[in-house]
Amino acid sequence: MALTVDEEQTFLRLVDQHRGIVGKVAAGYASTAADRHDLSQEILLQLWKAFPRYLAERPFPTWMYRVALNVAISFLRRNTRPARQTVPLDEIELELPDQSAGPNEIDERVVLLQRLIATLGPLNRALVLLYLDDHSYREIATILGISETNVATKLSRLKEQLRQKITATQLAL
Amino acid sequence: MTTTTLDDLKIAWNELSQKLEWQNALALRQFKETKLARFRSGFRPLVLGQLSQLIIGIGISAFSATYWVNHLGRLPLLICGLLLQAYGIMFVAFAVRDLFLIRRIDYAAPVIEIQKELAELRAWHLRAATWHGLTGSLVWLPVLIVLLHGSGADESWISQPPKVIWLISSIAVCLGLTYGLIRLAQSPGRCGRALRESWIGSTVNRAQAVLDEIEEFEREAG
Repeated sequence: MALTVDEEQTFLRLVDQHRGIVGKVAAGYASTAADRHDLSQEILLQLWKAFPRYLAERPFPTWMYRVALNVAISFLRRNTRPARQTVPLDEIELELPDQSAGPNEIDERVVLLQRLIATLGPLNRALVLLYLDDHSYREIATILGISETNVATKLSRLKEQLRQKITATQLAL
Repeated sequence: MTTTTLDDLKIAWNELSQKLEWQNALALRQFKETKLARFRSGFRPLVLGQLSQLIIGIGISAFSATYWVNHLGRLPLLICGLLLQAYGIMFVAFAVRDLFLIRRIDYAAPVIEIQKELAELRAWHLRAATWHGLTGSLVWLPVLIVLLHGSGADESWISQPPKVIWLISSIAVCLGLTYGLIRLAQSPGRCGRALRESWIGSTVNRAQAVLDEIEEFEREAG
């Protein structure tokens, strides 16, 4: 179904307002700049295709997150062998965002964070990305399609796992 | 050395988002200039594979229906026509189910729901491929007979004992090979393991592993 000129403008405006979501999800599921770029384009394309079914009364970021995560999980499953969908902490080699982008030096914590995310499976990554983005349990449950209780239980376990990994990494340094 | 906490990671995540900001803007601009322009000009990705399968299936069904109706009095040709029609119907049914599964996927639905639908689609593709392989190893016989008949050969040759023996043994060999391959794949030996770990085997396992992973993610609330 084709979008009218007005709808297209609305789509582009909304996506532009929330374009950070595309970047964050791509950063969570792709480790090289080329993969991040491909994934971003794939997410934008699916958003465009899904937009005719978007209901304006629903929050746009929630809708956008759902599409972006679905595309990203499929991308990861398609482009990575199952054994490589979760990568041991000490085996991860990341290609960090282009540093010409900003004046800041690479933060060790950013590196650590990306390494930690890469150790998680596709569904747990989604959960952690939403947690890092400060979404409420209710929002996470809506986006993922599981109960709030399930979100709380899983997050508590994941946070504990992350704490242990952080400690292990820091001890190793 | 400072100790990193989860809150530090949240801050780091926001910093990372800021670092990626110009790349996000670039990605959106590129999307507008390339992909969107192509969409505007009427480009639509079609499910070409399934549509062509549907057309081929309808073609086989239509041809074979006419064929067996015209050969009601000739048993071998009637059987061949019916077998081909069943094959054509299977083709159509598989294509229709494929199209239905693809069309119902709405990427804006909750993540678990869509991932499950995608995994089911993948598993269905694999099952369909097995059926295509199995029927494909047998369907050449009726096709051959129909083609020979179409080229002017008298179908009475099918009733000749040596030909009947040849036909029956060909069917038996095809079925035997397929059965043997399935049994071998189930066996615990080295060959069986090699077959299970081959492309098809690992793809089946992979599709099942994804479904199991989703189920576990959904269930693990306790």
